[in-house]
Amino acid sequence: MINNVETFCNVPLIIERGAADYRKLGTERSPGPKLFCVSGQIERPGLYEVPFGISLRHLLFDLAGGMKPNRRLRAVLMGGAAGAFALEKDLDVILSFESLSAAGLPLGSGAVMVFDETADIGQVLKRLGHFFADESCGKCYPCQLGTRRQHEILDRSAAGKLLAGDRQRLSDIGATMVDASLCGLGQTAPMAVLSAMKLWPKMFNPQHSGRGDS
Amino acid sequence: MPDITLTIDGASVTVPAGTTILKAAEKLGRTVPTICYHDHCTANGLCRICVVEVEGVKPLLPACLSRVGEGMKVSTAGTRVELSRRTILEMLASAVDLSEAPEIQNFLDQYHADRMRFPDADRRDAPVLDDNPMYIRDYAKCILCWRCVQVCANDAQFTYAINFKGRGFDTSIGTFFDKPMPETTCVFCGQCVGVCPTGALKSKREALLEQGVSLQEILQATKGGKKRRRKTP
Repeated sequence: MINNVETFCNVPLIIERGAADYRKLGTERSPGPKLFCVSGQIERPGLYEVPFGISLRHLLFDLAGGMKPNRRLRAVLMGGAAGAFALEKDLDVILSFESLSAAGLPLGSGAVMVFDETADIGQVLKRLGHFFADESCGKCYPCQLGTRRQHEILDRSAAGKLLAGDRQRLSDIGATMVDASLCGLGQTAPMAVLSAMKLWPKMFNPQHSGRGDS
Repeated sequence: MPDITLTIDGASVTVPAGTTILKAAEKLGRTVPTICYHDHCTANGLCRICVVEVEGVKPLLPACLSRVGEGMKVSTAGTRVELSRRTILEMLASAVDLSEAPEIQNFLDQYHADRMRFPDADRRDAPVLDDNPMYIRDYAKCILCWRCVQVCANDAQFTYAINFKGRGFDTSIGTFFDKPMPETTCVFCGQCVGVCPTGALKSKREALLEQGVSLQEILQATKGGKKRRRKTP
């Protein structure tokens, strides 16, 4: 089943050039080119077509111009809204299905969003929370209810007003949506939050500033 | 098609192909909790309370919809399943008035759900809709199980008087263009009231009796006193 335009666009390339030629780009298990949409706090945001197999560092620093002057990288949201955060230590990860999977990072749609040290991760999560609450179709209970409950807690988090027990609420809502949702939207809606909870656990302490500074 | 043998909670059971995990478990005397499921309605797998763990499958699967497979190994209990069930129940209790849903109240107790787990949570409140002599609609109690829409549509009546509005958390059930019930295709058959698990749809007679109105007063109010005059064409 093919359900995205990028895959469709590769089909004529494969037919015209033949599989062997197509496979000259990319890696053994991820042949061909890939579009990466680089956005956020980076010098040259935009759509980059690269062969599978380059590193994240090459994409961000050699192709997209790297960080803005005097700014340090804090995190990269890999895969899109339903993605997970990579850190500076992950910059040498190879961009391919197999390598990202081994590193526990999603490829997703190829969206790569860069956040530097001035970014307010709490606000990022709040906006992601709003997005998923809006997008939820409302059919299954875990997502219909979970995206709203998650959004409410992320609002509190961004305002620095987390309540005791909010960390566990987010964790339980997240696990339930991942395990029991009817479709991929519900299953991946909590990914960024769960990723942030692993990388910046202090952010989810009650009365924390909410910015994700630590 | 040949029968299928699978294992549920360690016990072997053989059922015809096409049987759901829910029904196969029933044959073994194991009850999987359900909320939206109804024997006489199309199963939609909405509440996800019936999710079970199937070996080799990453997400949990809804027992009411998933058909058995040869050699399947199913667990109807376990940490993942119980966490999902408890959290779904807690989220439901935080959004909907479950005061007249005894089965769900039992699940809340059985799974040790904290009814007050989500402070400052938006609720799905709605004013009571009382626009016809036969039944009232109290959508603050609606759990969006879809049974009413199903029986009004292809499961029983083929009348299509009610349907979903909105999306996500704010999904609600209503009539097209919010027309009062007597102006819709509704024929007041009562099927929807019959399948509603939470009292969101309730016969007016029952509602009035609950409020302490006498039967005499009810008959007066709902049957009307005036003789109908035939309108000339």
